[in-house]
Amino acid sequence: MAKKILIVDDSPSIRQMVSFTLTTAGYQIDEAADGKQGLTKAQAGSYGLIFTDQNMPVMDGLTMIRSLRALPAYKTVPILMLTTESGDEMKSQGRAAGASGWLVKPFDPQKLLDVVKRVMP
Amino acid sequence: MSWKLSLVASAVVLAVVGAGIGKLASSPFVGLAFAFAVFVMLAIFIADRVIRDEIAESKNTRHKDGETLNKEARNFFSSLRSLLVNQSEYMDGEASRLQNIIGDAIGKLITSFNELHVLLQKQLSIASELTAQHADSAHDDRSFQYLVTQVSDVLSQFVEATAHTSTASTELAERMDLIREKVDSISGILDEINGIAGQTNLLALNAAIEAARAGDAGRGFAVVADEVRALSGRSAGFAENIRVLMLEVNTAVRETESALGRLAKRDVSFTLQSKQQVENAMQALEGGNQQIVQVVKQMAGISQQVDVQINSAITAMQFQDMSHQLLEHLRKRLNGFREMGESSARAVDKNQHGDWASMRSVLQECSAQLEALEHVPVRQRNVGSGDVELF
Repeated sequence: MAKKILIVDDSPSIRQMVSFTLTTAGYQIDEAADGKQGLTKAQAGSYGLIFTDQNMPVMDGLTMIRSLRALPAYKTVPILMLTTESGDEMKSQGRAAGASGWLVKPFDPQKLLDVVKRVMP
Repeated sequence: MSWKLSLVASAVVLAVVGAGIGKLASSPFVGLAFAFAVFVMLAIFIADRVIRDEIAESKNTRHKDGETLNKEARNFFSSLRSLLVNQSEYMDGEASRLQNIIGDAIGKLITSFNELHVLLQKQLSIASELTAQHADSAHDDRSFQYLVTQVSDVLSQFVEATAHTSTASTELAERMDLIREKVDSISGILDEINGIAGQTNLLALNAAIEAARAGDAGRGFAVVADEVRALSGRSAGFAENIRVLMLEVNTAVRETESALGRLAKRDVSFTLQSKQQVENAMQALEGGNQQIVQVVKQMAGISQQVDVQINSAITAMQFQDMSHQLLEHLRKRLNGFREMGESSARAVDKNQHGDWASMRSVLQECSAQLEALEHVPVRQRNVGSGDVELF
């Protein structure tokens, strides 16, 4: 059975759309509304893949990734940024923080599924 | 005007004093030099006064002007403040409402598309179930094709059986004809038996008469003749019984013959026609069935296309997230404007004597705050799907 996927985004509609796309493809999804919630959920559960937004209240995506990478359980788990941010400077910050990839919104559901299959075979 | 009068007065006084001194020194030059020296001193003194007066007067005017300016600036900034604050609040409220409306609509849209997708999947699975049922029709006992073949086979057997029955009936009718002929010939034989019985009876009667004539000698013969007569009567009776029975047999054979005739006459073509009709109906059904399969396949194709469209709708619907973020940024800028209005008004209130330095620092603070908003989280210009980059 495929591992669960965590989606961290403050936008309920994005969470809804990612969940819809992935659940119809047979994946199990958990949601968190900001980086702090995401961190808590990730620590409490076990996920095979995490999607996160950058700009969120309380804790942003990059900070969450840095915190997650400090945990032994999430050293190698793929964490993908899913954000409207598309600047090269931001992307290199993401790379430095330990993100596994960068997806610029809006996402194409089919491309999203292709990426999930690639990073979580 | 006072400095001009004092200048004229001092010139007159100097002229008089200079003349007196000139007379005393008996040299007009000394008098003139003294008068000039005193005049220069006086002129310096008066000039000093004049400059002081001018400065004082100008200071006074400037102070008055400054006060007026300050008052006007305060009024101006107060009005500007209320304008900025009110308008910013209105705009903020409107932007917030816009965010809520779009957010609400998008939530419902996503739910609808979700439902649509689920229903399409159901439709797709029903369609594929249907096509799967027909795909292996030749081997599947429940398939329609199988049913058609079965019905056709049974009908063929039925037609064959009916033809057999018809042939057999004709044969039977012919045999019955033979039986009737035999029965008729039996009737002829019975007539002959009847004739023999009649002749025997006559012979017996003659024998009896001859026996009576012979007297005692013929008594024994008379007994025999009576017995022969009785036997002939019984023979005639049997023959009659047989004739009656043969008549009944004849009737039964005729009836059987006619029934067999009807059976044989029954048209095989009717059964053949029925078979053809049933086969035609089955073929039509099968054709319809094939059409249904085609339609179902097309439906499945359309479902997949709709799914693709739903995916692109999902991409487009993410405009809400982008709009939300942009509106949020816009609201931050508006807040910056409002802050600027409020801070400048406060600065004007505090600095009633035209202290522009603190005003400038307020402006610097505000522009620093607005500069922090220079990073816009959304740079996209449309809702085309974004790039994917794996590190």
